[in-house]
Amino acid sequence: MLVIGISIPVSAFLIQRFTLRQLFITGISFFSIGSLIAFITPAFSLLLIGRIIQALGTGMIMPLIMNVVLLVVPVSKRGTMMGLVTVVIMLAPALGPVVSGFILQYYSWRTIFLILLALGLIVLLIASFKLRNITETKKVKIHIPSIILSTIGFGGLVYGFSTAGKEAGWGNPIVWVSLAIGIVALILFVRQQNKMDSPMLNMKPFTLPVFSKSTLLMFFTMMILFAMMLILPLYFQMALNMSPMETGLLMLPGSLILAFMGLVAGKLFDKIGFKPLVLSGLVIVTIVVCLFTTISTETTITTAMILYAIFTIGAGLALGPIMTLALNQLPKPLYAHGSAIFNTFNQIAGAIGPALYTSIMTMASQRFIQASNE
Amino acid sequence: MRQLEEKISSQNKLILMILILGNFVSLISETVMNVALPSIISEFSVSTSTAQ
Repeated sequence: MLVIGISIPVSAFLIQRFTLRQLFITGISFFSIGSLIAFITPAFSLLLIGRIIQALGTGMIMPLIMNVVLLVVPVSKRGTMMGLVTVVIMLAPALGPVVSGFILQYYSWRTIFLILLALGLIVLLIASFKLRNITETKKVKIHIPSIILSTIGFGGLVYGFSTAGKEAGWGNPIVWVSLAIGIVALILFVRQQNKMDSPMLNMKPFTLPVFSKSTLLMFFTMMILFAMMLILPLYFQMALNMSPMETGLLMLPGSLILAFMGLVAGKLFDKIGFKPLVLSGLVIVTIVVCLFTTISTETTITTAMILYAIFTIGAGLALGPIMTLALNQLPKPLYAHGSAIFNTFNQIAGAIGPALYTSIMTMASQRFIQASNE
Repeated sequence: MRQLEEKISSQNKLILMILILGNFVSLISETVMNVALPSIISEFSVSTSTAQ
């Protein structure tokens, strides 16, 4: 997460400077090399390095797709295509734990990386034969101070929030220091970008009101969704004493619904526009989140699952159309910048949402323990 | 002209598919570790906080 949060802001620059083919092949190679290292590693530190290289690859590949969708898909079909893209973005992280839970029952964790390596190599092979370049490159200069500032900024923010989600929580001074440093660096970064003639990350998309609003909306919805995907497994495992494997399976129907709704909402977007979809989706999400406040250890698994399923219907309806709406606002010169901004917000939501909720949970359970001790 | 604009060429479709595939594979790797952590921790005998 951390590495991706840092590398995405740089992606706008990379997309302009290098061809799609170069970036994708480099990204997937990084990913494969990382998997290989993690697969053969004799020591834990090497495993971490492998994971970091993997994440660098992912960070390079991820922003490409939105950019390409914008470039090659006409506006009238974007809803459907973005629906498919959101499905992948939602479904893959949800499938991860299920797949690895399944593998771990029979094989060692190294097998997971072996499979990832194989998949990576297959994609690499297909890409090197079939992937043609379609983007135009420009000679953009690297502006090192910008990269340093954005790295410190996003790094500080993501690190601060994820530390807050751990045991020490908000009382930990490291949290506040890294958040403060992150925010200051980001402010400096934005000011610097606005001054430059050809900025690394152009802030102009924010002058489009619909883009800013829908990006913000997506940010909050993603936070809720990511938090839900974290809290619910914890609830299943800790309050209802279920195994990780069972939990993964319990979460699966929701994820499948989310994927399915993503596709449906995408198709509908192209036909009836965003308004009914986003509104009804967000209303459903709000109602279900309210209902979730009533669950306890007494709640049956079925109830929790049904609630989650309804939640995913709402989220699935709203998310894809919000994203498409935001990206449709962009004029062509801003494609790379707009999708980079968008992906960055997405990643930060993923870091902040769960951290915020786990820190609230830690505080609540500490208060509960204190109360029962007195 | 209009007809042309409304269609996605098969070449571009292929590119999109490759990209989606790449995304899928690399995003799965983001979360596969969560479940695997306990067994990795026991093999290398490190503490939970370092592993995260």
